[in-house]
Order: sequence, then C-alpha cells, then structure tokens
Amino acid sequence: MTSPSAPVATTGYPWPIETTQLANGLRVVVSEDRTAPVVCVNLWYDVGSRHEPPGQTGFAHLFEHLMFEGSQHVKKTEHMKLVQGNGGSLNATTNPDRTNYFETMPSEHLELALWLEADRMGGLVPALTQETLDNQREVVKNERRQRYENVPYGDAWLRLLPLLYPEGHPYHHSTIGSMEDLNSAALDTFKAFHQQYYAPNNAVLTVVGDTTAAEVFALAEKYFGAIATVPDIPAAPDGSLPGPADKAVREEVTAKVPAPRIYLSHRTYPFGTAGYDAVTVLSTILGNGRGSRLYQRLADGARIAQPDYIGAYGVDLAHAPAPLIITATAKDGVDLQTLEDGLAEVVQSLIDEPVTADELNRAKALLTTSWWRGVSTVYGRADLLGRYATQFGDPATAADRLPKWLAVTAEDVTEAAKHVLRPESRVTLTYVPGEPS
Amino acid sequence: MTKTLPDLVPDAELNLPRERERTLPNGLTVIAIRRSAVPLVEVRLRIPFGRAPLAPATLLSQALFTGTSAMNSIDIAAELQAVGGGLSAGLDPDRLLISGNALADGLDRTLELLASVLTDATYPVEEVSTERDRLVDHIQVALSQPAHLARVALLKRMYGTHPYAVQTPEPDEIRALSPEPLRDLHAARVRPDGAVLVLVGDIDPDQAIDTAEKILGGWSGSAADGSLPPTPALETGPLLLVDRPGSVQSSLRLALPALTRTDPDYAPLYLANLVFGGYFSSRWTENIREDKGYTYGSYSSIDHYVAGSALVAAAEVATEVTGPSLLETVYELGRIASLPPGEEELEQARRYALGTLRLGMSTQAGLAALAGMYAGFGLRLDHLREYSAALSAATREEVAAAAAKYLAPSRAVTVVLGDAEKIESQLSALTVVERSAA
Repeated sequence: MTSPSAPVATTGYPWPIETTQLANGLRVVVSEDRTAPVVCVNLWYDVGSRHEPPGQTGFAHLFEHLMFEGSQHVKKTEHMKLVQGNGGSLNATTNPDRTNYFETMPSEHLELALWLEADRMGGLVPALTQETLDNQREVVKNERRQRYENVPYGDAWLRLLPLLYPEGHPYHHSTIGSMEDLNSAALDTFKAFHQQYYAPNNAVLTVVGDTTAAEVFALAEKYFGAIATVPDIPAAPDGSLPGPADKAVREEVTAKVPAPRIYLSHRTYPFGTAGYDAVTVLSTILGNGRGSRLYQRLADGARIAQPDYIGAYGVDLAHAPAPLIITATAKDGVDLQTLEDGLAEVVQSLIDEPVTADELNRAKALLTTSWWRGVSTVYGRADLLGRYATQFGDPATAADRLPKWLAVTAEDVTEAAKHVLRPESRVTLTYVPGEPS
Repeated sequence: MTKTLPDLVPDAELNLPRERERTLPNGLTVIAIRRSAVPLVEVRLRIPFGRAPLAPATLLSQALFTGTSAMNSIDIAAELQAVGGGLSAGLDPDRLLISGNALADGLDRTLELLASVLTDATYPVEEVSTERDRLVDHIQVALSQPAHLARVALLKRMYGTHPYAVQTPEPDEIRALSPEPLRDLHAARVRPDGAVLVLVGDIDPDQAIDTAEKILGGWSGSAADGSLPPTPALETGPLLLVDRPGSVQSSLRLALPALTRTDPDYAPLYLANLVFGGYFSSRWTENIREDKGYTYGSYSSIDHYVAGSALVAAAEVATEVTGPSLLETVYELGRIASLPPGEEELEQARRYALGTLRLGMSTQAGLAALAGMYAGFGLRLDHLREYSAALSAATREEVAAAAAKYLAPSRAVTVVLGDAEKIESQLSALTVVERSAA
C-alpha cells in the first residue's frame, strides 16, 4: 500500500480576476476563461433570511421567486423564456446569508443576460402584482411540502435551527419560512423589500468565462450604471454569539420514518475563519466516505449504523458561528440509545485520539478534489468569486481557501474538536418510527 | 438604464472536442478527451449487463469495491481517497456503470485500483454481508419516499413482463444472497468485451489510452449475451391509483411512447416534448406552476434504454388540486398533439436544445457523462453534429406530426400516488380509476 502524501496547492484560483466598481456602488468582478464558449453571469445580493423580522419568515426566498415573474420591460414568464430560448440555463437560491441569481449562457448572449439582470434590479417594483404574489406563494408552499414535509426526516433542518440559535438570532428561523407567515405575506412588504435591499450598492455582479473584463465593464456601465444607489441599507440583526452554547438541548420526534435517526449539531465558527477551516477538515475526517471514522467505527466496525446515511458536514454560513451537523441512522434492530452512545463515542474520539497523518492526508486529498470540482464550471467559479467579494470584500481571497485547508494540522483539528464538540454544547435531534403525536 | 432588449444575436457553431479512441485486444474500448479546465480526471466504465439477474447484480454493484486478494474494503477506499478520488458502481437495466474522478496525477493509481477490482474482486463473506444489510436498509428507506414508490408503480405498468418492469429488488431477495452468486455473476459478466472506458480531464489523451492499455490489458474474457427483447408497446387502461395515506402531495406520473436517438423523427419529438413540458419555459410548467401554483415543478423527459425509449412526465402536486392538475396535464398533452406549436415557442425550444448541448459539454463531468452515455448506445460525440443539424432543421409540421403520434393523451399510461381517500373522487371525475392492490 502506498501511504498517502499530503496534496499541495499554492492557489485555489489559477485564473485572472479583474474588478471595478460603478459610481452607484455596484461591484463588478470578471474572470476570463476562453476554454469553452460559455459565460456565467452571477449576482449576489447581500440579503437573506437573516434579515427577516419576526412574522416575515420565508419572505427573502418568496421574493427570490418574484424576481422571475417579470420586471419593467420583461413580461411574466419572459425572463425564463429569453434565457432558455437563447440556449441558457438559470436559477437562483436563497439561504440565511444571501440571495444569488445566475445564468449560464452561450457566450454570444452575455449582453442579454446583463440586460435582464439590470431590468429586474432597477425595475421590478412596477411589475409586482397581487396575482403574481398569490401564485408564487402557492408555488413556495408546494416547495415546502415537496422538500420538507412529504419526505421522511425532511424537516430536520427546520427543527435544528431554533435549537442551535436563540430566539431573535438571525439564524433562528429557516429560509423556507412558516406556512402562517407565507399566508400573511402582503404585496407592499415585497415592494418595500426590493426597494430596500435590491440596490446596486448591495450587490456583486460576477461574470466568468468566454469574455473580457473590458467588455463586461462596459456592458455593466451601460445597463446597470443608471440604477440609483440606496442610502442607509439597514444591517441584519447582529449574529455574534459569546461562544458555543452552554447547555445541551434535545428534541425527540416520533414520525413516519423507516428507522431511528440522530442528528447531533454544534455551533462552530463563522465560515471564512481559521477555526472553520479546521472544522471543515475535521468533518471530512469524521464523516466523508468509507475512510472516515464514523464509517469505519459505526458502519464497518460496530455495525450499528446504516452505511448510506452516515455523515458530518459544516453548513458554510458567514455571519455567525456556523453549524456542524453529524448524523447516523440505526440499522435494523438497533435501538436509538445504542446508536446515540456509539455516535457520541466517535465524536469524543476526535478530542481523545489524535488524528493520524493518513487520516489528515486523505481528508485533504478529498477536499482538494471537491474544491476543483466546484470550480470546474463557470457557474461554480462565478458563485465563488461573488461570495468572497460579498462576504470578505475581495474576490481574490477565494484563492486562499484551498491552501488554508491544506495548511490545517492535526493539532488544529484536535483544538477545534475540544472547542466545539463538547457534549454540554450539543444539540441532539432524534427521530423514531411511530404515529406522529 | 437602457430600456430596450439588446438585439438577439445568432447562435455560434457547435465545436466538438477531439475524441481519441482505441479498442484493446481484450475487447475494451477506451475513449479519451482532453479538457484541462481543472487538474482532475473523470472516469466512466460501462459494462453491458442486460439480463443479469436483478438481485445479485444489484448487490454486486454495491460489493464490487469491498475486497481483492490483497486489499479489504477500507484499504481500497483509503487508497482511492489518497489520490483525491473515489469510484463507485451503479446498475441500470442495461449496464453496470463504474464512475468516479481523481486528481489528474492520480489517474494511473485510480486505474490500477480499478483493474485490481475488475480482475480480482473476492466478495469477502463479511463484506458482502455488510453490503447486503446496507442495500436492504437503502431499499427500505426508498420504500418510504413518494418519488420512488411512484416510479416502481409506473415501471410495472409500462413494462409488464419485460425485464425493465422491475428495477429495484425486493429486500427478501437481497437477504437471501450469499457471495457465491456474486462471484459467479462477476466471472460471467464483468468482462472487457463490449465495455467502454471514458477518460476526460487534464490529460494527454494518447498517453492516457496507453496507460489504460498497460493497466487494463490483462483484464480478459468474453461475456454472455446480454441482449434484451425490445420493450413492449404501452398498454393504456384505467388510471392506477396507489394509496399513500397522509401524503400532503400527490405524485402524478404519465408515460408515453418515444423514439430512439437515431430515429429520423427523434429531433422533432425532442422539440415537441420541450414545448410541452421538457423545460421550465414549457406550457405545462407555465400552466400548473406559473399560472395556477399547483406544484413546485413539473418536468417531462425522454428516457432511453438499449431496448427502447419512453417519455415520462412527472409532477408533485398539492393533494387538494390533484384532479385539477391531471385535467390541465391532459389538456396540455391534447393541445400539443392536436395543434401545431407557435413559430416563436418552437424557435425558443430549438435554441434551448442547441444551447444546452453546448453548456453540457463545457465541463469535464458533463463531457464524460455525454461521451459515456453515447458510447453505451454505440454512438460517438460526432453524432452531435448530425443531431444538432436535425434540431436546427425540424419544421413546425414535423414537430406537430411527432407530437400527434407520441404525445397524444389517449396513449398515456397514468399512475398517481397519494392519499387515496382524498384524491380518488377528484380523479374519478376525469377518468376510470383502478386502485393498486399494494
């Protein structure tokens, strides 16, 4: 057997990056790559569910839907038709931190994509109607049913957040929101929402692929240049927390599920910090693939967990200590307590048993592959640059993440484990099969 | 802001990457493509597996990487992870597909590990028992998922006694398996003759093929004939209602006949499907999502198997609007089958089809998937030249003719999974309903 050697990388972003800022505050990032005739246009708006006040959960995401329903010069459903009808693909996502919009196009249609994005940044409000809102409210309620309610364990994330973050914290509620709040969403609230947050000075426009910085800068000026700056955009509520939770909490759910399952979760560090880099390596060692400790000890060794449903991963949130989620599902005939004891023991091993060189190097090789897979597409690159520009002020710092992961030492992992994995700061969510009470 | 839509420009030509190919003396065909975007390589190996007995074949696909005479499963996984990669096997009714990726400088090591598994998999008793339990657990979890249950019911309804009708084994069939049938099946079917290996990434294609020949040249033997009879024609009949008490949504599934990729009418049918329900800007999505809000999403696509192709339309709709959703679905099928598409909507679908071909080929993984999938049907990437020309040339009349023939609602086989107590009367108002026995 060969012993794995640690991969090395001096940069995670070997492509050019050029930036500018328009007079209205819009930041523009361009990364040229001529290897394929495609281009991705990506917009990060610095608004997510963390900005939602009580009673308006789910509004940032429902608003994202409304952005596809027409704007000043684009009729309902036309946005989608113009992109797809010119060979492009598109989507948008909302999470607690931010909202992103993106389209990958054959590169000759770059200008069209920029025009569409500018039209909905500068001219959405006149096109918003009660009918559109009512329609998309139903679509989002169906999204909630399809993703969270109609599938076993589907609501775990919705349950974990309020256990992890205190009442009033910007991450306390989920992005999909509650049915009650969605039902009460009023049109004026959405108009105000757009006017408040969908401003050039609250966004980053990133273009990656078969184009040049000069071309993009000129088109950005042409289409976005006249959109007015919005002064005094209110910040989201403060997400800082004194440290890991000081009291363990648990929730036990009885539901129509095929087997007992456990989610353990801890607040760690914000995404982008050295502590979170160590947590990223830690979670790979703990739960990624057959070489991981959870797999080796619970699935292959003790045979108490189902091999397909073992995992440990961080959720990359930047504005407060981000969650680490560890999960396992009981094999047939194994009870919840046995599984929970086994899981706790493996988690504790990260504190008590030093990480070996082989474990560390394998984790780094896996992270290296996943990094390169992420930036193998123009979409992946554009979203990455938009993230670093929005969250850290400089897209070029994206290049540092991979080298920083590769610089994490075994001691760093143990230190992170000692800090974040203590049982007294743990959130435990369990599911057992049965009739819901 | 500039108010008017910029002039729409014509689409650029399709540029095909160069495929290098060699069939080795053992019958394995190796295809290599250079795409140096990132320092990775994608690996896809397709081994014909038609008519392989379902339960052992499924377990074999899960246990293939669990041991050789020199390594146990953890060794194999750790060795693959050490070059940043992983390989896994999956099964469909036509073939065993091994896929994965690695850091580009780990290609040799990855192929060595692949070769050792292909020529020396031992299916250790302990490991097979672990994989057996795992597969049983996995199937049991799937049996609680509405999308899986709807698919099981639909396949049975579509294919009757054809081998494609059942694609997931019963837990009990898996429980009964020992390693012996897996070893026998491996000896009989995991053979290079007729298999295709695709390598795409930051590689020198000729060198990669030489490497593959050196490492995989020792894999030998010919396989048993795996050809399948053509799929039967769809038999229409009552709507099949599968009960899932407490469901808050209903899974609506319709199957329709379709054509193979090389049929002269395939491009018109592909476009007709796009206009109906094959992409977000389709009529069906516009109707039941954007106009009525009955669903988060609906989608129809043409599924290709070696023994035949079929069109499947799927949507998860809110329980209380299950009947109205079926009504609109049948209406949209009837509309596309009875009236020619508009000029503009056809143009839009055409450009979407051509553009997504280009986007799909722009990444290593997309290119590997496309080249491998085509190779599985005896095609090469240059088929795209012919296919894109056919997409460009298809007329409204041809699209209307294909739709009339293949998208007619009278030819649909329909399955709905949901809370029968709440939806049966809604559905019975529209068509004859038969409850599933299960």
